[in-house]
Amino acid sequence: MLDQFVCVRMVEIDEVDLALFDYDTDLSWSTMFMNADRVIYGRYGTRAGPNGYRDITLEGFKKAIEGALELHRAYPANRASLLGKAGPPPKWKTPRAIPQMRGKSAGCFHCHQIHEGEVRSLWSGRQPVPDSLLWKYPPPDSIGLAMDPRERAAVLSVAAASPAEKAGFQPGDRVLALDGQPVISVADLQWILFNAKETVRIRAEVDRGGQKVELGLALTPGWRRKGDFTKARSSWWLQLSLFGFLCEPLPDADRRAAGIPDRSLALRVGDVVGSMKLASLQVTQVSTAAQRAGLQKGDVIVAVDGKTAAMTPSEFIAHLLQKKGPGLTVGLTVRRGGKPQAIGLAFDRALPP
Amino acid sequence: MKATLAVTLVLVALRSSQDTPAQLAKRFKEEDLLSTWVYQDLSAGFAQARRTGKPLLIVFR
Repeated sequence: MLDQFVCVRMVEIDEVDLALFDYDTDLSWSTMFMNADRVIYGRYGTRAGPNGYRDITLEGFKKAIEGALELHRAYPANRASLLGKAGPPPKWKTPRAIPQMRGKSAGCFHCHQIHEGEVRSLWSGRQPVPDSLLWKYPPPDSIGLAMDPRERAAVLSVAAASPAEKAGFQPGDRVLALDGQPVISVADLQWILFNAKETVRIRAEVDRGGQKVELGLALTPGWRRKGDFTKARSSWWLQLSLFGFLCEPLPDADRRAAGIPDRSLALRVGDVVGSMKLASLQVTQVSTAAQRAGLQKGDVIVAVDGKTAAMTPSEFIAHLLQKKGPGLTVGLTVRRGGKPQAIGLAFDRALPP
Repeated sequence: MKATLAVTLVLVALRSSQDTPAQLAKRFKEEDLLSTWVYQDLSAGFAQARRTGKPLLIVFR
């Protein structure tokens, strides 16, 4: 089938047009299908969970290819339905135009550095870092759908009380279109969710046992926050370079042993880095906020700026990026050896360009 | 060269947890997934697509 395409491989993306080539750059492998008019047919490549390679399969890729060919054969009659597959004009036209990327040598960009550079640039410039940027390319499980990686967009299961269940999705449904856009892959679902508003009702068309069924998917404020972006490579680098540590939820058994209620904050500090040279971004920091504050591996964060309500690691990182900027301090309460300790995490005033 | 690149690319990128590399290569051959590739040149890719009427498959890897 590939001989029916012009196949292009891109290994350096310094100057790609981000207005056209907008894909999940945290993936180590991603594909876009389009035509000579630069009209996008679809995307392939996803990572729904920590083990991303389970989410891409030869079978699924082949079916996405078939889908792209179907759309090509129907072009230009289907052009209107495809226009939503291109996004709004990006803030920066190319990766090299992103302020935090400008110091890099040509040919050294890694795809995951694009998102990292975008967030770093906004945060260091004291500009808002919206949820839509942090929870980029929301996986379908954000709305309660588990998808079959061997198919284009077939539902394996639907989470109880999720937006998908309320919309009427059922296991076995094959998603044909979402928000008026034809869907040829899970990546296409993620694209639509990525561009969806915080509060919106999206029309879905599914094939259910050979019958077309229309569903209405209602998204309400906070729906993105069901996802976990901390496993993405760009997030890992952001956490280490901006804050100097990683964290994870305290396991239930340890939470119970420590007497921390379920609805209370309990994030265990993982690796804490001291001085680090980010060779990929040509940034050298003398020390990190975590090191300066004396944060230690194994500390359990139980309050942040006085807030003790449970947070996921993603929500915690979002709090730091959205509520605290360069030069500011976030107050943490940690448990160390069973005893509470106050930690003031002071962020650098400015990041090196 | 380009066929080898295609095989290498797809083998590395789409390694199924159930298949060995030899099994995967056999499946690629049987399912006719090999083709020629344009390397790191979007302009050439779009020009070829315009000339041939074919759609583009662009891999970022």
